[in-house]
Amino acid sequence: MPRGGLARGRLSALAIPYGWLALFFLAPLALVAKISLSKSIIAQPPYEPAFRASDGLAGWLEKARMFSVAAYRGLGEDPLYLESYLSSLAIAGVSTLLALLVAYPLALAIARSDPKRRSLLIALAVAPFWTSFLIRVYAWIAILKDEGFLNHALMALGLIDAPLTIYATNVAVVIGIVYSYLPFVVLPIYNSLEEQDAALREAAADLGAGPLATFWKVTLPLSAPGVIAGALLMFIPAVGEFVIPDLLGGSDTIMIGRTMWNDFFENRDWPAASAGAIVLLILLVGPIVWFERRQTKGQGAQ
Amino acid sequence: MPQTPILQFEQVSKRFGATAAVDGVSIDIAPGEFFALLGPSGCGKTTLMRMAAGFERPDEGRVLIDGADATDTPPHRRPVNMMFQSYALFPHMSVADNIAFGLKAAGSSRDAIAARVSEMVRLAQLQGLEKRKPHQLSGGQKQRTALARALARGTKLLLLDEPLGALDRKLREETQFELMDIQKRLGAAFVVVTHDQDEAMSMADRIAVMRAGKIEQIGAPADIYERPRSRYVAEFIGEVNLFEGKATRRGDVLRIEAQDGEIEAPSREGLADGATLACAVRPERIRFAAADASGANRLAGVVHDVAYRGDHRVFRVRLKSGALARVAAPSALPAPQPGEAATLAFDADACVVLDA
Repeated sequence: MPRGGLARGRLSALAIPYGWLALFFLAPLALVAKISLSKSIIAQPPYEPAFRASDGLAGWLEKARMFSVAAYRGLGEDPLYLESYLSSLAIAGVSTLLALLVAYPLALAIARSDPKRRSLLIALAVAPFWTSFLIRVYAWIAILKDEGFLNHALMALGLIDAPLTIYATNVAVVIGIVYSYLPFVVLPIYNSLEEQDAALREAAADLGAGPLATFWKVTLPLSAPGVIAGALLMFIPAVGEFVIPDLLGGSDTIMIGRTMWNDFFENRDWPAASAGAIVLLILLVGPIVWFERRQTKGQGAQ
Repeated sequence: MPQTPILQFEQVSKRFGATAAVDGVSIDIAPGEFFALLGPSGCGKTTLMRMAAGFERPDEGRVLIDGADATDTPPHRRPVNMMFQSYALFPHMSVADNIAFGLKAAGSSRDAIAARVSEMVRLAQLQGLEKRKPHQLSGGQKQRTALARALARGTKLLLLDEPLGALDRKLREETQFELMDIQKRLGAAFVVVTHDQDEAMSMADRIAVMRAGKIEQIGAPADIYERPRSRYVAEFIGEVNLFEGKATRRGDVLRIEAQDGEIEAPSREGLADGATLACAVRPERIRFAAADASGANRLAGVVHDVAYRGDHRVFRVRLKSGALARVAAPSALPAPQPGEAATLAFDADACVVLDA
């Protein structure tokens, strides 16, 4: 095959994923960015400038002058947004830590089980995905509410006298998020544990390290890439989570997804909500870039 | 009173499913001995070594280390260290941290650890590489790091699983001598698992040849080479010519009526008259004789080909039966050319009589 043909072949192969990203990621992002620079008005659509094909190039340039950063300034002046960001980061952070504490032993147990049973156990860990996400979150309402299964069980066991108020609190939101995102954390940790050479643990034992010391000094540090990947895979979407806080949270549960939803649909302030989304994106891109760098460095090392 | 063996296997057996990986093995290894477990892959030598390290528990029998029963002692409590075939270096730790691992686990002081690590670095010639991670090392450097790490705790028994297996040929020979040198200097017992007979022969004080989970023969390298006790050992260690036939005893002499001629071999007790036996002769014990020479241990044939090996040449000679005999002769001696007739001769005591 001639060189040019090869280069062209590679180019067209690359064009598919890049085209996909451009169409479904960059284009919507550009739209959101554009709206974030607009002004809120009572109209359809509820912002200006609105570009129309009939405006022509000159009209578009004229309208582009109306762009302003007013919505961003508004975010800074609105304590609700600051509170929403902080509260979202806190809820997602606590949820991620709890999920790591649950997922790590689970992944370890699967990785150390009989190789013939591992795929079955992994399938079971992912099994909840076969049911609708929404239905599973609704099920948690039935479990957590005052007269729900959990309180019934605890009272029947005589552990508590009065029902615990969990439903419609941040605790319920954290439980819902940990439950929903757990498989995303288990899988990368399992992968990093499963690919560890068993001879490394034997070497540690041979050199006098007991099981606990071997875990802290060998197993855990070598699974760090899996732990970080799992934490990011969960933390990033959890920050912007909307459905779980909406269904399980109370009126005092503030998360950025909900705040933006309110701005979009209740206040019809699209520029403010769009600016909120762009700021969230910038907040989350930092850790992703850091992780990517770490990953490529790690790959170079192997 | 003989000194307590540093490592003893007492009637040790281990099964994996239906197959016996190790089958009733007993070995005593003396302190300071360089011992080799030799055999083809799957003969149970690695399983035996892993039982000494504590990674496998024998189904039957006992493992004693320095006279104490260690059969149920977990690996991290055994006074034994192992160098792994894959080296199993900790990829997230530097060379120095790898070497220090066992010392830290033992709770040595910082200064003691630092001193011991630098001693090991010198011993294994790793100077200047202390801060490197394993992926930044060459194969030979990894091998030396693994050795230094296994030696750092100073245990009196070191297990080495195919220690030279991953090195290229030239490095392997060099490293053989290094290993022997280090072993002598430290005075620790080394137990090496290997499938390479040259490696075992050149390094070990004693060799155990294993086959299908059992010990076929234990002895010094020269013993095993010159007095193999079975056809398996004779053929596994070095090259050998085997001549089979019906044997009759005449006093001190055993006569074997082989297809290629009559063979005289020294007789020994317990050889059945009239049985079919084999005479094993090493290639270097055979020489070329004058064509008109007659009598026992004279075999006629035609030189098939010659391989030049520098100091000696290896001839393959087609005998009457069609079998190819190997003859190794010093290159300086006159010898027939390929295609020429040749008469092979050897002394009776060059012949080791084995069951056919």
